[in-house]
Amino acid sequence: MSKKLGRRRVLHGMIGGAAVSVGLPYFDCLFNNHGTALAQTGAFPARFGTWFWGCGMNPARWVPTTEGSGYDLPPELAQGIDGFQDRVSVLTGFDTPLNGETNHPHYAPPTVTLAGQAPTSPTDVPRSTFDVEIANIIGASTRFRVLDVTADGQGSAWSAQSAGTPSPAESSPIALYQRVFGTGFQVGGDEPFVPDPAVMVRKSVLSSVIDQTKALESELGSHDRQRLDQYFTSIRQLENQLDVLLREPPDLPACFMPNEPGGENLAQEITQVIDTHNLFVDLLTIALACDQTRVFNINLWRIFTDVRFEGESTGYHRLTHDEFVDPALGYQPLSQRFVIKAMDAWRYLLTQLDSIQEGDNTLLDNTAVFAHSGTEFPKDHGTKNIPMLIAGSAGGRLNTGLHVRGAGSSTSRAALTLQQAFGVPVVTWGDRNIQTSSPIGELVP
Amino acid sequence: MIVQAQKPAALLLIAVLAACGDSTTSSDNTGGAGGTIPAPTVEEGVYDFLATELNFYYPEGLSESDTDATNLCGLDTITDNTTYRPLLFDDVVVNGFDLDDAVSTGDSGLCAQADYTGIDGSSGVDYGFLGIIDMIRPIRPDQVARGVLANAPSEGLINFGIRLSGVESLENDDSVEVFVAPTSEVPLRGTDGRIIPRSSVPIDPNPEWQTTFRGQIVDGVLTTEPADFTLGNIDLIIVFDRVLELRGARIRATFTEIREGVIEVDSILAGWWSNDNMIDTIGDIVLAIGANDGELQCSAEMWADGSSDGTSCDMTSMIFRTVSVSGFLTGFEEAN
Amino acid sequence: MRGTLFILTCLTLTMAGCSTTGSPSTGPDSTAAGLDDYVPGPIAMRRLTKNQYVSTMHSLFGADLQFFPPTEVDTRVEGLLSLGANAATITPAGLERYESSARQVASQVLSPDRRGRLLGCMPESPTDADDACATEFVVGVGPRVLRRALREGEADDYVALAREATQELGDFYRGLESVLASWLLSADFLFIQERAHPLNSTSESAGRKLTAETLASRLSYFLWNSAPDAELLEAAFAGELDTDQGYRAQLERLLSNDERLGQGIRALFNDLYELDALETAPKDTSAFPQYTMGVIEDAKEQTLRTVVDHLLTRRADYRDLFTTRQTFMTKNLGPIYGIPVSEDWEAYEFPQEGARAGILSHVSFLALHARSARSSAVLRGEFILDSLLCTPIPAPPANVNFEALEPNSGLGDTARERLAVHRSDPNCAVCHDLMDPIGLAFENFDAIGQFRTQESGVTIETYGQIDETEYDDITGFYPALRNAPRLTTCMVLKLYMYAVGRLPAISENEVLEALEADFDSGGYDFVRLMENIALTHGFRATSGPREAEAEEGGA
Repeated sequence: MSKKLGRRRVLHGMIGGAAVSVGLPYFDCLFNNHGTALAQTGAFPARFGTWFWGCGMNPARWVPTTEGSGYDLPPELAQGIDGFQDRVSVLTGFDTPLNGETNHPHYAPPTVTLAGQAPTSPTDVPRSTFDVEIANIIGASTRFRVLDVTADGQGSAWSAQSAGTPSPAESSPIALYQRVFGTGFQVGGDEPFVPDPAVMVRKSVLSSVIDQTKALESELGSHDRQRLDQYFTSIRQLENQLDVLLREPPDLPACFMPNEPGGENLAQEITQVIDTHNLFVDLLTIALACDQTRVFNINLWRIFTDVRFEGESTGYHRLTHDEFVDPALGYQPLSQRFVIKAMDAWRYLLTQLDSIQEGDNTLLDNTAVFAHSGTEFPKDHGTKNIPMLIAGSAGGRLNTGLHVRGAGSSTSRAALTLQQAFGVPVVTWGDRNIQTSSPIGELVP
Repeated sequence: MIVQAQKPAALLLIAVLAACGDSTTSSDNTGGAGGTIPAPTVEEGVYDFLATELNFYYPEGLSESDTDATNLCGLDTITDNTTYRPLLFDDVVVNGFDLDDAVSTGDSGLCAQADYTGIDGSSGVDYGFLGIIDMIRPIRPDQVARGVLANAPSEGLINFGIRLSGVESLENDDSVEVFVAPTSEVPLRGTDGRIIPRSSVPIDPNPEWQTTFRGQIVDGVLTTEPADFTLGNIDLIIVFDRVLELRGARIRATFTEIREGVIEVDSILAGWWSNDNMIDTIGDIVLAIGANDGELQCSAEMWADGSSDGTSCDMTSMIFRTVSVSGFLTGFEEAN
Repeated sequence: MRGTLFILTCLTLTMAGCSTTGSPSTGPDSTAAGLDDYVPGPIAMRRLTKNQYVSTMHSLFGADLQFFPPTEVDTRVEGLLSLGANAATITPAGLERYESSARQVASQVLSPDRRGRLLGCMPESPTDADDACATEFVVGVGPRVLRRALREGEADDYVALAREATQELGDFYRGLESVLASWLLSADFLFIQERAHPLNSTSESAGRKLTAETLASRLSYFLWNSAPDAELLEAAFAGELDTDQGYRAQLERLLSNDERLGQGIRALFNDLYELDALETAPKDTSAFPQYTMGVIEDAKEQTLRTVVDHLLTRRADYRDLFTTRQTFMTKNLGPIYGIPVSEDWEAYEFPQEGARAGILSHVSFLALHARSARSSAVLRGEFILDSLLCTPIPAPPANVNFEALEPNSGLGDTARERLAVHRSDPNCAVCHDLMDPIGLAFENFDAIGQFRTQESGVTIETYGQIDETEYDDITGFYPALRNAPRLTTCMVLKLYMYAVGRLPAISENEVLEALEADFDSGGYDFVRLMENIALTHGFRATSGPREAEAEEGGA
């Protein structure tokens, strides 16, 4: 710990001198004392999020016909980003190559997009996902390195900590509320701050755990040592969370103590799933505004989803397979309703993030939210032309408002672009033919 | 993938199985049933049903008159409310029985009230209680009583079962036994709140609350001979443990297979309801849902069309409608 | 392409095959136990599954303990969570939950009304540190929780932690709570750790012997699905498990405790049959309002009870699990089975001529392997091939067109007619010729396992074939499956993997064959199979720590 403190002191000194050199992500400079620092400098941390919606869209109604800025807005896309177009980049024509692995169509595309590696089975988690790499850079100082939520009851929001270890996601908004805003949460500037001795003891416990487990390390083979390293990383992350609780909370103007959700209904009907999603968005927005976390992952619904409209017996995923394409319309009319609902949910997220003012900008501007789906045309469950969106510029780290075509290149380019924007020292990303060294140039300022 | 590295070993072993599977058939073990698999049965000729709905019988096509009701009981609410109009039931067809074996008009003798035409076109069908329905607003069609009474089985307030035995066919059978008894537990309810078909429920062991009818089935319609009917364990939100009694009661029922292995029974239960028992069982709840004090008493006296002693008019011809589904009644051993 | 791959797999299987019918076991001891000149697979460090975490807490501190179960996502490898566990790590979000559970457990364990169960001493003052009493707690309880002896100097560190925390919080017992919490967060607790003796303690061609502590954990989690009890750990610490006699004595003791062995068998079948997934398997409640939470819970319990009754109480032939008409019934299940039920969990026998026999005719299997509103011959066939017969089926192409499978597709009234459409496509037929005849045998059962004779008004046919055995309907399928040699081979393989927590190395093929021969000659006694596995060299030894690189090359 003492090393870090040393670094912080140094950086803190530099902030006063205004010149913060590159090499260290500059927002990290602000974390120690950022309440004051932010007030002085007007700078706010960059945040990152992912947002997944299963089962894609209808290309003719979603993909803009023009490229670059000022792209046209087909109806399904308009549903998602109308009013935010200049702050959202649309990525189309990017594929998820599978390196010869079987296409497990309900799992492979999001795994390739986020992890750069194709799964060998529906339950295979081949490696960590790139949101974890970004969280390692920007999430280390907050109470929660990352918050994962899922609106349809799936166990994870596609994020994985390491091979074989998906990150667990909250499926209940009330549970998320209690975790973030329950014991330990304090709004800055409210009352005189007294560190809780019980928190200090919890830190001592973690130190003891690390000390005692060190002895184990030498007994393990390299495979298990890697897993133990991940365990240590998780303990250190919890130590960081406790450090945050031992410091006076920052006085952030947009931060407030939200009310506990009055109730929740975790059923699979569309209204409930959307309500759950929106409740999660509300809580995450406040968690970001209060700097409790800087990274989040949201799963709206998986590809293999059973979400359905009230009174209907067939869920969305079944519909995508079973419903005939209406030749006059060129799409599946019943399935299409879910695309609209998904885009509504996405716009709700943008609206909420945009409602938090941070200096001259909004929380949305200081965030980059990466939306991706598991296929293009729902009925095909294909791996080509995976639709992606990036909303917000992460405080000027990304160009926005563009439509970029990938021309069959890999979705891993988006992952590489985003990692580099957040200062992850990565030059190539992905496995074999998923691998890329080319970020999406149009997005790099 | 690391985990996959050893897979060949596992696969190799699996090979063993594919390979050495001796290809002799095991036809002697197949049972040779040739595709005919009997559906699960309970007992030969026995069908159990659980009541899922119970209500006063409301004939089809009841309409209201365009003139205001007369305040026959001298109670204060009726005339004040000009939206309250008498029901017109001169022409309605009633699914009931000619309980008194007489075609009555309003003045054809002791306690006589006008009878109705039956669903089969027969005349003389008795339903004196329809007059009471007319006079008491909360129990008229689509008023509060509908919710109170109709949902009583699924809310666990009034639960009873019906056992048909000695049945050779639900289409035609000249002699069947129909047993009705309250259950001592509430049947299971599904995610829709309704009673789950084929639930098992023990019958209440009290023999005084059980009734056995003789009956026959003709072209899918079950009709019973009269019997004195008693049903205990009647709860209605605020009243508990009442006992319903009908004298000379009869049942008419039809059967529909609503899905494989589940039959729904739509039935009417008709009989003579003593005014005392009527007031004892439904008086409090009728009052609670908005009737005036004394209204049921007054109406019952006015519409009583039967006599228990041959002198006073002290009972009213009654028809209940009940729906039930396949289920299982248990606990007969304890009851006997 | 896919088809070719699969056929190759089949060929490989076929060629490897014909050496299994080895000599039957001659003596009272198993052939498998006699084999000891091979190097088994590497150490398997396994994260406790949710289920194991909960049962471990309960066995250490009592079943009345209240705590949050872990949020970590358990994943299946080769159909088993217990294999996925040997790749799993601990995530930050997961650790958060473990920490909060550790604190919950510690504060309950050391609460005034229950601290006496574990603590024999009293501090001089309840608000001050007391090293002597703390030491007693550390030395007495630590090894049970950590499942190993304390290292030199380790106890002092814990006593120091207790002292520091007591001083900070002014409460001796809260000091002890912090020590207990640290144990419950340690990698020795959250993972099943395995350690081996140095190579020179045994011959080079046989790998390295596992330490006594490791054997205690392997035995206990395999047979009881829980942490070693005090007696087993004592035996380990006393060196008894290092002798064959001492090891066998403890093995017999564990096998003779019917209740705890029953828990172990339940955990295995819960894992193998994916019963943990039943609760979240979506069902269309508008079509099936009778499929209530009570049904789901009882369906799972019914199968597990039947398994334990059959394999443990009756010690009956494992294969008869697929034909037995004995089971247990509840009032919740009665409506689904369409039968009267007087008492919950009364013994019940399916009618002799009826369509139900064996655990595959249970609601648990039939409802889990079905779609939300309709049955699925494909899902049922796939599970049986993959998990019960160890014949994995590749995934379908991504853009597979399922239109034909819908009841309203116009392509057939029954699933059999509709499936015939896509089996006429050679790409589909490669796999579906294997899956469909098996799955279609179950078409008399709908999406929640209710019996039916018709679909869309047409009588359902359930004839088919498995390997070379043809059957007319489901009542013929059960014995055909029961008699399929792959059934027992696969069970041996799965149980072995479950026991050692990893895939077998190629060097272990011979012992697997021997185990199967023992299983054959011993009348398919499942408990005996468990015993024989625990007696193998592969269960008691290892190639050593698991190296990431070396592993890639294969053993």
